[in-house]
Amino acid sequence: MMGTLESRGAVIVALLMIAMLVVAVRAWGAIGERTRQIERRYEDWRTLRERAVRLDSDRARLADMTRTGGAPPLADWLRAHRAEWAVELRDLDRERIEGDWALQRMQVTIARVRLADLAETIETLARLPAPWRVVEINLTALETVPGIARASLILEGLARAPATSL
Amino acid sequence: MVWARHSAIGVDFAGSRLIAFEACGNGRMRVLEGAPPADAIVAAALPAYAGFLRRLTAPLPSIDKARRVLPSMLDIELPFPLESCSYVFLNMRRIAGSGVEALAIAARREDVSAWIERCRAAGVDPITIEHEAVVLWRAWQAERPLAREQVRLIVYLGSDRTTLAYGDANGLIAATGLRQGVDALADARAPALQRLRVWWRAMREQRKEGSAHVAWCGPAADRADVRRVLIEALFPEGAPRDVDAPDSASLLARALAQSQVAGIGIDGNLRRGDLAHPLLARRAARAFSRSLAAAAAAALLLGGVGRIGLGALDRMRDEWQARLVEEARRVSGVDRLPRGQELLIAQRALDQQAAGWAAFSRYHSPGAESLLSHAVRSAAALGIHFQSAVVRPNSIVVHGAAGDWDAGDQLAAVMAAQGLRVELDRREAGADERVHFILRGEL
Repeated sequence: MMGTLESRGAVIVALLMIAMLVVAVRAWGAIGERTRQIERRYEDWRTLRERAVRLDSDRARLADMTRTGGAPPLADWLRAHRAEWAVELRDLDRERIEGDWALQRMQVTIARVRLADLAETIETLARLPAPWRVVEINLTALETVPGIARASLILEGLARAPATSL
Repeated sequence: MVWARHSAIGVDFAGSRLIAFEACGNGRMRVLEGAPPADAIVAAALPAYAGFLRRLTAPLPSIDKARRVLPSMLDIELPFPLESCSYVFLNMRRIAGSGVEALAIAARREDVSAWIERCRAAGVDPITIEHEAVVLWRAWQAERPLAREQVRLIVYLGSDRTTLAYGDANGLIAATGLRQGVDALADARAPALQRLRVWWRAMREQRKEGSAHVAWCGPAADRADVRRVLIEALFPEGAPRDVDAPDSASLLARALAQSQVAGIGIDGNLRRGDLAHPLLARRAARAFSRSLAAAAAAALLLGGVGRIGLGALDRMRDEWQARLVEEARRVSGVDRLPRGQELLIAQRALDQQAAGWAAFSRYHSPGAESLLSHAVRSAAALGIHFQSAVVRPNSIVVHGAAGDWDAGDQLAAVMAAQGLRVELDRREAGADERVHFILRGEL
């Protein structure tokens, strides 16, 4: 009788043990999969977060630069600061950034300019709160006088871009 | 299994008389008068004539593997089926170059059972029954350890049985026994004596070297006439040195009791399986139950820890999922994102804006103004005239003319200081007596 009870107890304990082992094995097996899922989500989140932080930073910078209305109209600015220059302006293109702000690209041709004046002028333009950035400068010397040339510049600056123009 | 006891009783028989000896954990020993108490821990020895003893060597390097092979080797040696026997393997050890050696002990279960009945008839129920030769050898080794070159012949003389055990410093080698006691050995022509002589000669043939001595014990070890006849029969070349146990009559009982107290008698126990003493059987069952319970508890713990760990990981995964969804919503501006598509949708939204923002990123990087300023100022200082120049934020090409050979070099050095890789191509001075050059620089 005692032996029967003992062996029944042993069977129950053994079954419990097997069941728990199955639970344990499945749980431990699933742990690897869960860890990989967490790692994947964390990586996805980090990727998004990095891009979002960069975007936020760019937006903040754009807002700062356009607070006073973007880069000053180049024709007006040159007229005000370099009235003696014979300037020819041409609107090249506009590349939309976000909302109604775009990057306006302009070609400026100056028939005769002192190189020192040119350098000083484009440095001033680059220091404006919403600057005109110099993308390219082409200089061709005028044969007769050293230090004076014909200049062709491509500049880009922030400007409002009506949706229809894009 | 450790089986040490505070006190235990060893029993032996001198004919029908029971010899009982009690050993205590504190080292005290005493002879018991009459039958031991019913609940006493009793150890007995199976006479050598009822047992089988052989040194076996399994040609395997591993003890575990040898343990699996040894029963088959024993089966070949036994004169009766292994299934009908109770058997143990003692003193297993690796022998360099030859495998694993073990002392195989076996006895027919019916003989073990008959011996249990005999003990019970005398009023004792032994918990363990060891092979007599094993116990005697252990007792004599404790009494007088053997040197490496010595061999020992133990002669147990009883009133109803005789036992001979033989071994060397490595342990017991062989044993034999007779159902006859000293009276059957008193006559030099007795068949019993002839059997012992044949056995001993065979033993000596197997091992010729080593100085043998005889160790006497047993209730009839004081029979000088029998000892003389035996010595003459076994050692015709001359009597060897012989020694007597201090209390030779009770040596076996005393050794059995001491082994029990020390917990070393259990390994050689032939009372096992369905012959096992109820106390040992219960103990084994309890140990088995405890092992099962411990294993079940371990499994429960393992399962529990696994589930808890999994739960914690699930929560962590859900937290990161929530963060991902929140970030994706913010970036994409979409409120309801399909599960698993969050990153894709958010990245698509970001990609759509990427071109514009790439232009903006370029816009707030340095333009060509800095390079032009350096070039113009240096040229003025060095007396260089530009014939033409193309300046971009990361490159410059200048066609110029200088008043001397080195001016071009100096302009190149200024450009190199701005981080440009510069190439200078100069030509000999021409009709205008100026050095014409082309300077190319790139970031």
